[in-house]
Amino acid sequence: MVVYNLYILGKNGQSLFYREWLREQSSNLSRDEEDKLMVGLLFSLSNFAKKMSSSPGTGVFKSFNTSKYKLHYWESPTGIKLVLNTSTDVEPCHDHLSTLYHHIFIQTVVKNPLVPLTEPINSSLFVTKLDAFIKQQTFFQD
Amino acid sequence: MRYNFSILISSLKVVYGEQDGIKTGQVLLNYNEHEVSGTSVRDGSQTGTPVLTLLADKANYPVNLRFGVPKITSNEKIIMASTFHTVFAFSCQLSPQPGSSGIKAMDCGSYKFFCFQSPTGTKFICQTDTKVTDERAEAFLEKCYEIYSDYALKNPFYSLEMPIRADLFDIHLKSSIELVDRPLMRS
Repeated sequence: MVVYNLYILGKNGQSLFYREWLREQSSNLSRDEEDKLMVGLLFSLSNFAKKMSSSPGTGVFKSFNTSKYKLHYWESPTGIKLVLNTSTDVEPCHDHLSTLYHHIFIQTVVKNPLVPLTEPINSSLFVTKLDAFIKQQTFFQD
Repeated sequence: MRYNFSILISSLKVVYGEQDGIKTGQVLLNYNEHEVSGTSVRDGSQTGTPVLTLLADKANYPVNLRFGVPKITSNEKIIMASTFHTVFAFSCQLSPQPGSSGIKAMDCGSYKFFCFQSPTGTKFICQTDTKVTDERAEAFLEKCYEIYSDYALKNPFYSLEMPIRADLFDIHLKSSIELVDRPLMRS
């Protein structure tokens, strides 16, 4: 069980934060292009999930897996999107992402009046707390 | 009953006032025993009667209205298929590990979604409830591929990339769907 990387995307799809732990293949795209591709992917998938659902308002995209990785998605009511890529054998970690948002993101980023939620995050406190949080998860392995 | 409708070009849609199990986003499907197509009731007359004129007339009450999810038109089906196609390609590109396939399974809370791609690129997609396991769905899609190659591809009257119209294909597909459903009903 491996954690590859984490994306945090803002309300309007701007990239707020990116961190990778054990990513094995860096893509041939630039950081900026990759973030845009991720935003596009999530936007289309959420719409797709909504449209495919049999009753209105129930289809919420949570995760998908391919043969090599699993993508977990969580969106806050304010539109902040957390995306975590892990290996396929990791259990759904929707709850972990919401904990991460509530206990780390809100405490260190949202409550900081000097950080606008449209700019990339450069808080070392956030990064240390995030690292500690991810590394204590049972599914994280060195 | 208080519902607010918005009239779209093609249908009557609830936009405000969720009540009695009727949710926003649903559209009017039936007026009494008649089917509603677009904004008019198919009551035998040539053009149909507009629903809103019928609802405005007190003499018509009580009425029986049935709401439901709008049917997917074939145009929308094409849009969804192409959306999925792009998303599938994106997911290969964004992979943190080399040599990843596209999306194989998707969890959407109230339902699951599976995709199987054959070596030639044909995609088999199914939507299931949350109880269906990945293995079972995968086995089902592989079975679909088998049926597709046996009864569509081997059919001399079938041309590639065209809708499949073959009775044998339908029959076998139906029976394999029943096989997936049956063990679920028991449990």
